[in-house]
Amino acid sequence: MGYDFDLKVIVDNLDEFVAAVGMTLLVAAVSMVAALVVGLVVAFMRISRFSIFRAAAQGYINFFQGAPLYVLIFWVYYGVAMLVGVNFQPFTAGAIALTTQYGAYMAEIYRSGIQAIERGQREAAVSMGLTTTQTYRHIILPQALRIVLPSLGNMWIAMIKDSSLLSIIGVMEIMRTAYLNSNDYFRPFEFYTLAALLYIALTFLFFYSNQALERKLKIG
Amino acid sequence: MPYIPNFGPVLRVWDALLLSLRFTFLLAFMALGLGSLMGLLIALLRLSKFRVLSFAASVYINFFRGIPQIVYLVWLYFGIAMVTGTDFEPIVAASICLATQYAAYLAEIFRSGIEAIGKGQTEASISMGLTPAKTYRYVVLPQALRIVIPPVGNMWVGAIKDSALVSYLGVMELTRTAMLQSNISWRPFEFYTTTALIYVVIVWASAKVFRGLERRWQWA
Repeated sequence: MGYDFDLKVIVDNLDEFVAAVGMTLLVAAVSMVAALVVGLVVAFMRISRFSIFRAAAQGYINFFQGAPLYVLIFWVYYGVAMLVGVNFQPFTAGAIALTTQYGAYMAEIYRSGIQAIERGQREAAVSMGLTTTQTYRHIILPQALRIVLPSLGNMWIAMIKDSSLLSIIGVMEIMRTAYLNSNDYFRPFEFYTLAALLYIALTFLFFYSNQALERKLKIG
Repeated sequence: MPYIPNFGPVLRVWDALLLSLRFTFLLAFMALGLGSLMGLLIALLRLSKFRVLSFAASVYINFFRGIPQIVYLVWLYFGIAMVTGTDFEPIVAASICLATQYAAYLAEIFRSGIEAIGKGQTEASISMGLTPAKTYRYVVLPQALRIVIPPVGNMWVGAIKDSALVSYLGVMELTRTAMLQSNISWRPFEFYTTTALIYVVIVWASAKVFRGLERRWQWA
C-alpha cells in the first residue's frame, strides 16, 4: 500500500511557514542577545575576587547547564509563573528559558576566552597604569571576543534548533506551525519533513556564514 | 497572597520519581551504546578512500546534526509511522531517534580522534605487515578511544538531558512522571525545580566520573 505524498497542502500553507521561520529567528535572536549579556555578567562574577560572587555564578552555571531545556521551559512557564504570580506570555517564558540556559553556556565560553589571554598582558596593562576596567575594555575583551566568536556562532545554530522546543508552550514557530497543520490535514509526514528541511536550511545557512566569518577573522 | 512553596507532594511521590530514572538511564545508554556502534561505522565510512562512501557518511552526519531532536522524534513517531503503517512503541521510537542522532555526533568525535593519531603510526603498522583491519584494532582505535573520552563524556551528559525530550511521546521517564504529578498536585514550581535539580545532580556526578576516567586512562 503506497502513501501518496501530498505537495499541495504544503504549498497552500507556505505563507504560514514563512511567518513561522520569522518567529523562530525572532525568539532565537532575542534570547541570543539577552544570553550574551547575561553570560558576560555571570562570567565576570565567575572570575571575581569575591568568593560569594564566584559561588553564585558557579551555582547558576551548574543549574542552567545541567537542567534539560525541556524541563526549564516548563519550570519557567508553569513553575516560576505560579511562584511570582505572573501569567507569562509563551514567547516571554520561552525566551527566559533559552536566555538563562544559553547565558550559562556563554559564561563558560567567555571565561575560556578571557583566560586564554595570557596573564602577561594583564600584568603589563596594570604596570602601565590601566585600571581593571580599562584593561578589560581595551586589551582583554577585544582579543577574547575574537577568539570565542566561532563558538558563539555554534551557539546561535544550537539556539535555532532549541527554539523548536518552544512549540510545546504554544509559540508559533516552525515546529508548532508544522504540528497544527499536520493535525488539521492529517498529513504529519509532509509537514514534519518540511519542518526538518527548514531547520536544515537554516543550520546550513548559518554554518557557512560562521565559517566565512572565521576565515575573515583569521586574515584580519 | 504570596505563593508558599510546599514540597510535600514531591516528597510523597519521591520513590516514583527516582524509579522513573530507569528509563532516563536506559534511553541514555541506548543513545550512547547504539550510537557509538553506528557512529564508529559512520566515522570509518567518512574516512574511507571511496568518495561515495565518504559523501554518504557526511550527508548522514550533516542531516542528523541539522535537525532539532523534537522535530526528528515527531517526524519518526507520527510521520514515518503513517507512511509505513508501523505502530511504534514510544520507547522504541525514542531509542531509534536518540541512537541515530547521537551516531552522527559521535561519528564526528571518533573521526577527529582517529585523525589525531598521526599517519606515522598507520604507515609504520602497514610497513610492519599489519593489515588495515589489524592496524585499526590494535594501534589506532585503542589510542583514539582514550583521546575521545572528554567529548564522549559531554555526549553522555547531553544524552541524559535529551532523554527528557522523549517524554513528549509518553515515555514514563523522569520528566513525564514529574509532569503528571505536577498536574495532579497543582505544584509545578516544586516539581519542576526538583526535576531540574535531579538532572543537575546526575550531570554533575557524571562529569566527575568522566574526569576520573580521563585522569586514569589518558596519558599526559
